[in-house]
Amino acid sequence: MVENFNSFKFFPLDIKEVKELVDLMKRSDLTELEIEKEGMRVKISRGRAGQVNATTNFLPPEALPQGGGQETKQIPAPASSAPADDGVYIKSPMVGTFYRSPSPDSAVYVDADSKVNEKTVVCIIEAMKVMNEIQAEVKGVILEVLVENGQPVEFGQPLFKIKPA
Amino acid sequence: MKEDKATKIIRALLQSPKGFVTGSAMARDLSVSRVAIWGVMEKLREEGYEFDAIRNRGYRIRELPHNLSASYLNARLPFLAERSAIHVHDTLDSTNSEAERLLADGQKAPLVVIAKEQTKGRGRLGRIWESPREGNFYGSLAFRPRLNPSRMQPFTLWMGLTICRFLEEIGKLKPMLKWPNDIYCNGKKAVGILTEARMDADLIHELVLGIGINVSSAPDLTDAQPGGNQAVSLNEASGREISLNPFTVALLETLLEAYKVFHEDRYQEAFKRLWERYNLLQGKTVKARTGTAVINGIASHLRPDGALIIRHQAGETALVSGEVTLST
Repeated sequence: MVENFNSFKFFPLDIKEVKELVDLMKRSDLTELEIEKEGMRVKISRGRAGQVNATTNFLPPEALPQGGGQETKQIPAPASSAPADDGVYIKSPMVGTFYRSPSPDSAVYVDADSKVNEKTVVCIIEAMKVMNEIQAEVKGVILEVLVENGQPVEFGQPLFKIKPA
Repeated sequence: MKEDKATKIIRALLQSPKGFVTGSAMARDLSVSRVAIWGVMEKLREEGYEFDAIRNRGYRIRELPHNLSASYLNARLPFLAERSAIHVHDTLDSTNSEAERLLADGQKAPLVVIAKEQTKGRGRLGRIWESPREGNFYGSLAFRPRLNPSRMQPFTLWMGLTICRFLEEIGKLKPMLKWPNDIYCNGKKAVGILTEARMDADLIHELVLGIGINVSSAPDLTDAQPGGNQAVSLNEASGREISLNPFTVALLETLLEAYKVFHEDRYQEAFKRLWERYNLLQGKTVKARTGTAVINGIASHLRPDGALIIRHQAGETALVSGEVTLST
């Protein structure tokens, strides 16, 4: 199985937009919503357990046979069904590879229980040999590291959960 | 800034139509004594300059230093010199680290850090860039782009392609870029690039472009990577001797201009042309290693964001990070 590391490119909504739509659906008690953007149709349906599915049609609507050419994506839980708690997420600003330390031999930038401030570097995302040091942007304590070292990450993917101070 | 006397003297010598400047003219222009001028000339000789001194005509530069000269760079790059933005060191741990320190200190960007020698030259993921003393280029350019992170992705490629063009223009070299950041001459590695950025979700605040170029000598990597990549110097690959100081001035001018074009989002057309010319992997069978997978396929084309598309039996993979090697 070969991965497509950049499937987000073909997905016309970002996580934030999906979350907004889901919030809208919750408020208005909708279970299904379909929108069109950039020539693609996206269907979001919401089950009782709060689970959300988004379906994307990759072809322009007129070229699309009923039900054909579809792919179903599971939206990461935090975007939709996270119970109310005090956690916020540091998300990846780009596609790339996630590294927790500046080099294989050095200590990780942060771990669970690490205190961070806005300027604290929490990880590196490497893309095309640009080593991007990512800053926390909030002051608080790391609750959870959500990605393993060396894994590919997508745009908008949550990397850390933080309890803001 | 108050320029030092050595920079002023070198600039006067470089700008003089016939190359000559008399000691008394230097003394007058710098408002110092003739004795002070002799002192500065002596220091410049120690740095490696050679001068002709001819009665009634004055001094003329006969030979530039083999190694990098701060006075020369400052004299030739006044737009950086006037902001004290050129930092030349005999030895540094890593020029990228020093550039990051200067940015963290609040120094104005762009700035340039150059070391004649590095003790901990950094490659990707803490690997070492071998930095033997004398006659090579180890430098970093530091910027504060304030661009959205998504804009940044093709940056290393763009600068790498720019360096390929620059090397071809200086002559006798046929450089090729191996996606995403190595430049090969005659099938051996001559240039390495490492870009480091500090950002949050919205903006890139600091950007450091580190470049190592084997100009006059290349490390022997036979022990480090048996059967692996070998290194070559530009002098060896071109069969001639490149003068490091003028080379460095032209390189920095080229890179600063290329940064400007990138920052203003005007690079796409030239990028495409340069990519077609310098892409080492075009149509080649490659093995790509990412954090999670090994992909064997054919290097196909580039996506606008700089990702390398690899074609294989199962379809296509867009490679954003990872190592690519030519399959033999």
